[in-house]
Amino acid sequence: MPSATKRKAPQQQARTKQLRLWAIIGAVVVGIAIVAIIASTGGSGTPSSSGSETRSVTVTGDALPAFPGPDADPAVGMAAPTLAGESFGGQPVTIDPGSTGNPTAIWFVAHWCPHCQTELPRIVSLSQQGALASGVDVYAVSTGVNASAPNYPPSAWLRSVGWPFPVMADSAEGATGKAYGLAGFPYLVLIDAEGNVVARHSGELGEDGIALALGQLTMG
Amino acid sequence: MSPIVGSTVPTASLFLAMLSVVAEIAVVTGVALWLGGKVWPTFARAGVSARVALTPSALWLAWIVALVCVLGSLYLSEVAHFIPCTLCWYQRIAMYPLVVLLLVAAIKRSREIARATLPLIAIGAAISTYHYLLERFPSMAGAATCDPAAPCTIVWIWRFHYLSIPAMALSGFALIALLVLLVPSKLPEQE
Repeated sequence: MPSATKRKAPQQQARTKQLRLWAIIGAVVVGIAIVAIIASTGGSGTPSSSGSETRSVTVTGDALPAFPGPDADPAVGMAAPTLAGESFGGQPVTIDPGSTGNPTAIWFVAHWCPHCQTELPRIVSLSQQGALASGVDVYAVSTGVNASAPNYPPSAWLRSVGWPFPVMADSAEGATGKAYGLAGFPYLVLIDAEGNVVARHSGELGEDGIALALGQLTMG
Repeated sequence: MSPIVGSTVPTASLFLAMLSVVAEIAVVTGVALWLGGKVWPTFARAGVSARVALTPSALWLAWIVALVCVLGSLYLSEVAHFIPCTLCWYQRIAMYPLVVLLLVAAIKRSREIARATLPLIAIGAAISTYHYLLERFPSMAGAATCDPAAPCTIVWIWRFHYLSIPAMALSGFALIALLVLLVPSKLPEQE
């Protein structure tokens, strides 16, 4: 009987230690939960809707095929569709390539895309330096809007980078991207003065690439 | 996302981030005790004490860590609507079976089953590391373009100036590995 009691004592001790360990872990987790609740109370929270950053868009004309890559792009030479929509502020914006007699460059950008976040300031910088080809109608289309994603809202982002050209807010369904065969962000569509697609490019461009792309619109 | 659900997202992401920090502290402490123990007797003694204290519960703790990781990832995709990218799915493929395997290992008190999870953990940790680097250096992807549906370069959560979702997953994988490696060849008899 005494030997059994002796054997039980270390077991009891071990059990107490284990209970203490689990109690400490539980207390740490509860403490973290309390700190997280207190720390995030009173913040602005996550925006609940992306509705204020999208607008309805009317597309006129045939949609361009999906961009397969720069080689043998089937959209080259095709008439670019017309987009009629609004800016973030609700002012009407119409992108009607060929209607002004100037070539057109349209940048489709997403606020959460790190490549767009890098490329847009380059375009702004080139524009400020006067290094962008003159006589080209430049537009940004804010698309892929997601209120849960980083760098929301896109209106604030474009304002903060000092985007100097007109901006169209895409519809929640991404009507503009579908009309222009968008395959990835950032997405640049170059259109000649007659309204036909000259080239499309998907992916981030350096300053030289941007200047070259727009330059090809005014050559010849 | 409803306003009520939306308001829980910052709290939940902060909670998960703080748990990750605790996991990282535990892993760094464990590795420091192990390496330091080879040089300094004090570290060795502290390491032995920690191992003795943790061993009986190590498999259950590892299972709980895996369960929290799985529930956290499901919350982020199904409640917060952060769309998982391809690399997120690969990490899930490595993490989700751990919940089942470690539960079986803990119930059966089997070191062999627990150790069998190590290759999965290593693969998951490697993918998490690559994903984190891709977030920090998007040009690593080569194409320098964002997939409109679910790009792997998008940073859904950014806490404490270094923690994103793959970094949290890496913390989880590392802590599970540490706990599994703690299990000695012969587990103490259960009462």
